Amino acid sequence: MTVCKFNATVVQMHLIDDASQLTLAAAAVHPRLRHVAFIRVRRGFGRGRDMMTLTYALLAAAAFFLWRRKAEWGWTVVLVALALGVVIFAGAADFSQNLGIRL
Amino acid sequence: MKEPILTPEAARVLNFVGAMALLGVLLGVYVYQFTYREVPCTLCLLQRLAMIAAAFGAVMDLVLGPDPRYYGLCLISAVFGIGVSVRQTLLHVNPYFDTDTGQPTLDPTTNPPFGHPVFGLDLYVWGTVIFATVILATAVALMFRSQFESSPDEPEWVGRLAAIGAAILFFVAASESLGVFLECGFGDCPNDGTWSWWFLRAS
Repeated sequence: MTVCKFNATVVQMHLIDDASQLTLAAAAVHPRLRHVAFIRVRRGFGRGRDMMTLTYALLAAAAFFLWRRKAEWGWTVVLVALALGVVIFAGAADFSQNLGIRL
Repeated sequence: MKEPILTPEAARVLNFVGAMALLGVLLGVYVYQFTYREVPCTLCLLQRLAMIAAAFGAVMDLVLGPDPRYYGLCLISAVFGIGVSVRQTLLHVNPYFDTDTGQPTLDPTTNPPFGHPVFGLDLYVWGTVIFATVILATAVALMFRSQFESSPDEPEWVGRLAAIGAAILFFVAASESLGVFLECGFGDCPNDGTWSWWFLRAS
């Protein structure tokens, strides 16, 4: 029984990897999925790296509108993408380490 | 009347060359990524992001005409990129240090460099060099005020060049976005050389 529970959790975690945002959205409307969302949150949701796809999508969208529409506002979208990049960097980098050198 | 040193058209051509150099680096990295089957790490993706953003600033200068705001975008992107690349360089600067335990080690394979070197330098060291070059080139370009004077009659070839540059930028940004989506999905980037999606992990 314990093994079954463990396997179920592993399966859930893989599912979360593949579609975390969808799972969170589903959890908002379906009570039985709330514990899955809870695991997702505990695994590091909010550390920033979740936003990498969104950041690149912003860049691609801005590039498309610059190409097809000569959109002048594209640079502000790129600035937002860079700000997200800073958030991701701060979340991904472990500054508690001494950068591999003795300071 | 004194002739301008850098005309708006000449500035656009130089921005085209700069943008193509940056986008060429990104396309060249694909060769390494697919030849050695190396999935980019989080810091690598952030450096690519900064490189695309810097190229975006140059392409904006090309498409809409030189503007200090677009040069500023190049500078901000390059400063962010050099911060990330220096961070990654420092992580791997000492092979005799185990970054997991935080202790020195006699085994130089404990902290190996990430990825295959290009001409003897690792990719993140090249990133530092490239971003430093972007900062220097942008600072020099900003010194020529004559490029910011509006020119009413724009030659036709400038428009064609701008369309080509913008199209290449979009296709590089879109292909990078697709790659990031396959690697990270909507969740954490795995950061251990694997793909996020189960059907890619299985292969």
